[in-house]
Amino acid sequence: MDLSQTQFFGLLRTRLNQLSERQRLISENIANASTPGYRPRDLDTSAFERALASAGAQDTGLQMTRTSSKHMAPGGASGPAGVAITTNDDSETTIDGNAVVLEDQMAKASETRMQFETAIALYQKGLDLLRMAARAPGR
Amino acid sequence: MTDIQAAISAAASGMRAQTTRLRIAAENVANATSTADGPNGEPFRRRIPLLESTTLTSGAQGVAVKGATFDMSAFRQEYNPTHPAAGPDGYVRLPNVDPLIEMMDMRDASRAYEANLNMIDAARSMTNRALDLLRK
Repeated sequence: MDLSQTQFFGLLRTRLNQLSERQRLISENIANASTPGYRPRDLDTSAFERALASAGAQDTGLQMTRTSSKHMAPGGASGPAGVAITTNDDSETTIDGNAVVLEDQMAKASETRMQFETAIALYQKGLDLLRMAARAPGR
Repeated sequence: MTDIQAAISAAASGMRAQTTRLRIAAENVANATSTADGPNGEPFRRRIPLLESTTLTSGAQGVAVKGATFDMSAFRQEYNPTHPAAGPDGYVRLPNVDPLIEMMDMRDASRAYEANLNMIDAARSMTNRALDLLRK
């Protein structure tokens, strides 16, 4: 059984990948907090919402047909689920054109960290359920 | 996982750059009263670090100090005819260093350094949480 092909674990894996990529972008923004002309980048957060919506659509019983190998697998478990990187300025821009505000970035970083820990906890829960199912009855 | 590593390397490059910035600010403050040794010489000229966004080997968009340029603003002047560096009018040229500005730069650099350190901490705890999946 390939865990990443199951809907639950596949979704969580995509989520974890996205969150670590977001953390990388925030880290880059903070590293460039005093680079003139630097504009902070972030993940397009609606990408995950879209992936989630397409994963949820599976439950209705209707499956999307893949007519080309280039199509995304239903459920969004394989391939990057449309990760788009956007440039969006923080609340202030300094005279040298730098639009990074450390406070905003730190808030984003802790938000990402919290979401990451939530996803990890859910993953753990899923593994526990699998273990429970694999256990011999009555033990 | 490579994203987390890239995050750490970006934060590390930020810490390096902020340290260099802090060093240059400290040099400016240390030389805030360094005059020339004669009437024809120039006093210490304030230096400004140039930070530039750069792509690191890990693929992350880090930062590096490209170099330092001289602050070409006017020197301060002080009337002190007995000073060896005094000109014919009795004025000594002093460095164009404003301790207040340097202090602000220092505060900014140490704040950014701290933020980078926090990012490394966050990345490390995220990795640890992921590794915890193996332990249980």
